[in-house]
Amino acid sequence: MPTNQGFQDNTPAVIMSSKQSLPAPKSVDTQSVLKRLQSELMCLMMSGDPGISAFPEEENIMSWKGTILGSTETVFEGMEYKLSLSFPTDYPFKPPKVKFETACFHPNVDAFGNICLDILQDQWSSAYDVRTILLSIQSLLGEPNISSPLNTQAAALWSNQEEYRKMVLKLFKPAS
Amino acid sequence: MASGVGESITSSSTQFQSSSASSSNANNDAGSFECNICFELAQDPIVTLCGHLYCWPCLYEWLHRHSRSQECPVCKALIQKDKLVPLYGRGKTTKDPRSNPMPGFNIPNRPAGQRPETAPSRGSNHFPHHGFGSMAGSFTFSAAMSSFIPEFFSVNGFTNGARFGAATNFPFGFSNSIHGGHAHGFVHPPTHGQQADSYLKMLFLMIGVFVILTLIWA
Repeated sequence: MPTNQGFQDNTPAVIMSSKQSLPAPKSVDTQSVLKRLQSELMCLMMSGDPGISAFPEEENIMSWKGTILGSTETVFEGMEYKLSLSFPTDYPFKPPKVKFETACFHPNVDAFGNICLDILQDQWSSAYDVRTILLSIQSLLGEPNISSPLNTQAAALWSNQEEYRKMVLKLFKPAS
Repeated sequence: MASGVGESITSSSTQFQSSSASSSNANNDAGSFECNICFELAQDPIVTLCGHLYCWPCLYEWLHRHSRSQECPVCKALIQKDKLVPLYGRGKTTKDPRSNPMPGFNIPNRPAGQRPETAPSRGSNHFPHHGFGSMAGSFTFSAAMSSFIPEFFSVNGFTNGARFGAATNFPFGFSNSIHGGHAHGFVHPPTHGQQADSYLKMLFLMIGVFVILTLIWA
């Protein structure tokens, strides 16, 4: 319960600042987005999924930071990747923009951290949430789609898992 | 401006507190009744054929403004509008402010439930049509006969009734089925055994009537 208490104390301040920084969207609409993000946050904190976490940034509940741990028995094992999630005002009808903040050497992640994942684009569904997005990205790490790579070098190296692991370790820079 | 911001702060923080209280309860109690889009207790609840629950405004918005094909957000099954089922609970219907989440974007009324015919009443269920028909037929027939020979018929009917009725432990069944057959038949629908009895009685009555008729004309 102490985490819950902290969360309750914390979040109104988050909402407060988000109200100021939002570019004056429709109030009714924003209310439902805020409610949904709050219930997602609550759900994430209660569920305690191993290997994923997310929390709103200090300034803005429409913008979250997430972390993903590389799954065991993949070349990403033990790596911790930070991501940014930016929610549109018509969330959840539109997907959030999700990017890797930590450089990630992966066939479906480009040099800027953009992710090529269908559920973040045309296969988005409003039933998805932060938790399912992070879990999807976590499983994408271990099961890349080699046929449409953003990072062709990573796609080419994927078949050699030993070399790939070395590359991952070499390129990994913990986020500052 | 400053006061406007202040107002929105207080309203949203109180809102948050109430919603956090309700959703922590909801996790335990009402989680199965949360809309799959807004994650709140479903308002104007509607269920797809694949069984997924939504607020009608949420589902409408998804289907009409965002979904490329009309598919269920949870399982991607095709959603046909005429196959949606509204849920009518017992609680009072309060107007939800979210029922029009997009100003200037009209959401039509929730589709109505498809109501099958009213279940047939129990009485007519236990009273097969042919049974009723033959009964009515003989009733009109005997009524016609009784108009020809009222005295003979009524005497015959009564005595027959007493005799066969006693034999089947159903003293008034026979005369009932003839003289008051219609009304009594509906109020106390006969069981199968009783029906067989009444067919038998009808047969005996017919034979009796013909015997009497032949006696008269002979």
